[in-house]
Amino acid sequence: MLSLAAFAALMALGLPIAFAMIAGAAVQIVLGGNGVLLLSLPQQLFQGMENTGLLALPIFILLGELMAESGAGRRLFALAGLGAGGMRGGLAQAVIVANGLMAAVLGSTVAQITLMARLAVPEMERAGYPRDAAAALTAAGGLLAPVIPPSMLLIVYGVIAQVPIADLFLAGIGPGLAILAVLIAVTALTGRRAGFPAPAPRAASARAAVTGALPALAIPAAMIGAILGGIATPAEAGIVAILAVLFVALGALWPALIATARSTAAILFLIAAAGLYAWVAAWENLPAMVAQQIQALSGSPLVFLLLLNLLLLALGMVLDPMPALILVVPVLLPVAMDSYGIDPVHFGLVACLNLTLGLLTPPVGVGLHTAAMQTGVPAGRIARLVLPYLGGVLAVLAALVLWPGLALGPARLLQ
Amino acid sequence: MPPTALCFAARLDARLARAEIRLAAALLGGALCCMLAGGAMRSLGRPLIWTDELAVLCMAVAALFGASAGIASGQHLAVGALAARLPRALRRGADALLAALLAGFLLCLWIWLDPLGLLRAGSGAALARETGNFTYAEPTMTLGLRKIWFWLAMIPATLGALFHALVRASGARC
Repeated sequence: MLSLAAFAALMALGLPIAFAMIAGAAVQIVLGGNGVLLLSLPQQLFQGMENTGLLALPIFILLGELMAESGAGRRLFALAGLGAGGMRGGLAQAVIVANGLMAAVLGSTVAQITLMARLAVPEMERAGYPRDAAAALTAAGGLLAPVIPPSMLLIVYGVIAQVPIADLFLAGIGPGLAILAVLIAVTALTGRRAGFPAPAPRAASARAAVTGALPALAIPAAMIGAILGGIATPAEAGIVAILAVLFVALGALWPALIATARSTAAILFLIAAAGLYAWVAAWENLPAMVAQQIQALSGSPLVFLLLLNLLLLALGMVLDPMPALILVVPVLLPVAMDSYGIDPVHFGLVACLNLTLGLLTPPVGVGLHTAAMQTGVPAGRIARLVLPYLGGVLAVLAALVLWPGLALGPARLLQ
Repeated sequence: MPPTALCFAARLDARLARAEIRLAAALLGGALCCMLAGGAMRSLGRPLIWTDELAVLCMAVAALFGASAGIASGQHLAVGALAARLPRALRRGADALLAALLAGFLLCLWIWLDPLGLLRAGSGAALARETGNFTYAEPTMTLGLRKIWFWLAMIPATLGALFHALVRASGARC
């Protein structure tokens, strides 16, 4: 308990979460009288990053960076905008659809919101949308990135939980499409109430928009198809996709590698620190103790999943999805599988979707702050405007908890 | 510390962080090349068994240097909501705490690597025989190299991280 308190206190002080975790692990080792374990600490930390599955992480981060540099976002937005002309709130719907397409390209909420805020918000303002509504819509669209494959969050979950990443990508399709449908429905309702404008049909050539967007669509489609079809591993498919994008964005390779190094290091170091904490926790038999406590609270898988969701919602409000996932999965997944017979793929989708909500909730909500920073609209105002969208995604989460088939169904069908 | 020394430290800090992130990016590029070579040769029916291990080790070393640079640029994931409301002195205290943590880690590294024991024993194998410390004897699976060559990256990375944390704690700026 004292190690958890040390971890929480250091985190609250603003210490990087990974270092707070290492300190917590060290406190646990010392308090447990296992001082000799401190000598293995560096080796354990290094081993936490030695995982072939983790290679997918830099590959997909680099792919996202290169796709963003290659102008894929602009082309996908132009394609989605084809259906917007003349319809009330049509441009807003186009932004949501463009976000859905972009999620299959970028896999990161922050990257997606940053790109869409630059592309969509000025366009929406020109069409007569209030700036705050445009900012909120862009932020809400970012919720699609962590669920629609390829998703960084699903890759990290796959590595921690030892679940095939291809299975997770397959399972992400159902909930991802459900969220897309919900976001479109909420936008339609909000648009009618707020009186979103109906822009004049655009004169831009549909043919040019489609041909321009084809490579941007074909690369992720071929990549995801190769992964799901079992032709290539996620890492191999990602490498081939990188080579394809390099044809149009070779000059962006070095800056993209630098950005990839920054993101990868932060995530990998966090995973290594969490691995260290899990190692110490296993030494102290913590998972078994937690399992005992939870089993005393609930007997059914449904109650367990409800409790899990409450815990994740609370965690998601103060932590980024990635560290929250890394903290929770090693302790609770064994309980979920062994005591309640919950499918690890279902558990992963529930956890990832739940933590995604935290991206748009104060005080931490990275997506919220990114949208605020990019658009100049106060984060509090965006947080109020995204509430209907969060409600919609919460409904999808509830459906996913009650009906695992939403995630596992498409996977079983395609397998 | 006098202002000029602080300014020098801040400049050195920024340069070191830039060098670290470039090294991390180059290592990641190397890891990707390894994977590409591995995939290409596998598809040609002549698999290279060492590519995956080298790629993973490059990635791990890249993460170490990138993590050190991340301290300088404040890019590690952290809960900033409460910390932003703390007085400046307390925030610097947190940076000093981070520096202390890194110094402790450096001490763990020193004891684990036992350089004096290695000097006394004369070789990694002799150290393993005498003390049961197999750090220098542990092999990689496919590379034909000892793992220690990759583990050694933890020393400069931790020293760099410690320097970044100390500069942040001192509030040095130029």
